[in-house]
Amino acid sequence: MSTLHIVSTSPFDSNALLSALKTASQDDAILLIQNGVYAAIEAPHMSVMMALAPSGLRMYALAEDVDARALHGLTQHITKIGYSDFVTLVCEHHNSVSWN
Amino acid sequence: MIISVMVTGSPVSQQAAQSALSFCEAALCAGHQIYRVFFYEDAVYVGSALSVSPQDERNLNAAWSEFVQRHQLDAVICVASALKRGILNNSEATRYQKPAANLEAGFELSGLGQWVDACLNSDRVVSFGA
Repeated sequence: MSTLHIVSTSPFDSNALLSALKTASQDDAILLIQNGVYAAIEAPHMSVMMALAPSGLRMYALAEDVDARALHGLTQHITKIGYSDFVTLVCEHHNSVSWN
Repeated sequence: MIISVMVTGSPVSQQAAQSALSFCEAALCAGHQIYRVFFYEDAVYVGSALSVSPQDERNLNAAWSEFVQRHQLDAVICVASALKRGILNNSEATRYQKPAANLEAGFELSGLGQWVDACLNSDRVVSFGA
């Protein structure tokens, strides 16, 4: 049973991403949306947090929300996707959990 | 697939209702079926026909109303959340002797049981908060 973890708040505001990373298993995926996309920027303390992720965990960020915030220099292991891919991810996983 | 969507974030201060609308549009585009959209907590403000947006901003309430009517979607506003926030249809306005009703076209007021029903009858459920 794989799970899509949808993180919608900034790691600078909440522990949502931390909780998702601690909960996720190898087959899961994490999708950053809304202010959650701030976790996709290259920053030293972000890489410390990302190190908590289980190996092989796939990470995505919603392109519309990344672009709306004019974020550049995203970390390499995060893939930018659109809403159609968001729908595909929801269908590919058995469950989705929204971390606010 | 059959998908249901829960929205909990306020349309005036959070992005949830916007994200949920874009998700629903993409889901229908991909050929999936939306069984129900359930608006809960502050998201019930989406169902107010009385909100007015500045001319240079998207009117999210109108966009949702147009979307659910165009696709004949089942769009449920949680009645308990709605009554507390002053979102009433005609029968609730009459029942509580209020001077007006303001539920936007395309929405209906109902209970949380409708969300339980949606979870039981959908392949996937997605929640949009914050």
